[in-house]
Amino acid sequence: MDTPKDDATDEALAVEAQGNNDAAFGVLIERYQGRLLRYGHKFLADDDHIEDIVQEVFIKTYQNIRGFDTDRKFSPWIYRIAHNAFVNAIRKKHREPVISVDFDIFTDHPQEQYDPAEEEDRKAMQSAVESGLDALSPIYKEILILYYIEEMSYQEIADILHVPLGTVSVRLRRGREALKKEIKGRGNNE
Amino acid sequence: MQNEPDIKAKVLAKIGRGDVHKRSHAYFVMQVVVVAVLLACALALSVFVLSFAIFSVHESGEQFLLGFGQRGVLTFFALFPWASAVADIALFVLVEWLIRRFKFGYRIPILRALLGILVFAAIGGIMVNLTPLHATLLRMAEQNELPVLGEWYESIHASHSDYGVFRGTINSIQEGRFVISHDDNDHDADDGTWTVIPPAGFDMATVATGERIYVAGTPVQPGIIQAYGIQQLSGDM
Repeated sequence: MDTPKDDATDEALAVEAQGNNDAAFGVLIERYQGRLLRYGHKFLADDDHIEDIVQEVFIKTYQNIRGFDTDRKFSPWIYRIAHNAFVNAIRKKHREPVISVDFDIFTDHPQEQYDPAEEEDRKAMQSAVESGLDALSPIYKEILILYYIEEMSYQEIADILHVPLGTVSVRLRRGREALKKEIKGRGNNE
Repeated sequence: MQNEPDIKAKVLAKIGRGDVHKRSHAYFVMQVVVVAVLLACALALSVFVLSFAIFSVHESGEQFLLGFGQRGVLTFFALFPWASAVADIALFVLVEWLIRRFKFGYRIPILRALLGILVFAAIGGIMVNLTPLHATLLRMAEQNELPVLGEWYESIHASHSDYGVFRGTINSIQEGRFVISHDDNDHDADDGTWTVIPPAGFDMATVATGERIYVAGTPVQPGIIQAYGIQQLSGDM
């Protein structure tokens, strides 16, 4: 079995893993284990089985690795598998649809323009996301995690959630507003 | 640094023991092929069903009801082939769902995708109606040579006397009225002879004996219809 190079890209490792190089798959696990656990802890919050779920994500990734299109980025692909696993975990726990009908995916939304003030706001939002997500609906919670904690681009988030780009934009804005309202509400109560 | 659980060791151990296997490349190719074939079938079926609905409205003469005033419009909606329309909507949803299985699919908002499918099916439906397909199938159905879809096609010429809609050939023209009859040799409810009293202002000079005619009206006595709309049927209807 070939030892993969440390500086190999995720996509190059995935190509190796598509063959018979399980060591390359091991490197991918090393790279994504921490990130997926953090994503899971933030998204599922009170679930005690996050490690088991993430382990299952890697097993599914291994089973489907030959279905990965090597012309595309690996990270949205594995996050998509994780997203499905986390949504299923919430569904199983609450026995109800987590992401109910989302009318934002029905219509076109203009992609919102980049606002330089947003970058200054980013650090503040990151810490707000770290502390104030529990009360938010999963639909907003997840997109805020992907954008502020996992630092995914709009396109990557669209590929993970399987929604149009405009929907990412509008959902992110609504999530930010809901989070700010939540933080403000907490401030008033204290 | 926080100790991370040894997920890597556990996963690689399962792989090493042979508990987990990679799906073959052919599996994923087959998956795409199956979805593509289902998509093509669903699209073709949606075009066929929509073209049938268009053909049915045209062939039955029901489109004339739209020119017969408010009552005609209400009757048109009552007689509209809703089963075909509902089946087509279900097919559009299926097509949209199948498109979403492809990587490009989820990038299109649902309503835009559904609108695109509707436009495709409508253009396809109109083009199918330029061919003799439905007319041929209808002829086969009337000669009892069309299995499965036969009843569907025969329903196009079914009687709608309960909705006040009659088709027939003018046998005779009298003062302020004319007599029509319909007989397609099956002795069913749409066969019979009726006297039609045209609506006020109708020009009797526009009809002639032997013409095929479409009448919407109310039976005022057995066999006598007070019409609110009359339209000559063209030779192919």
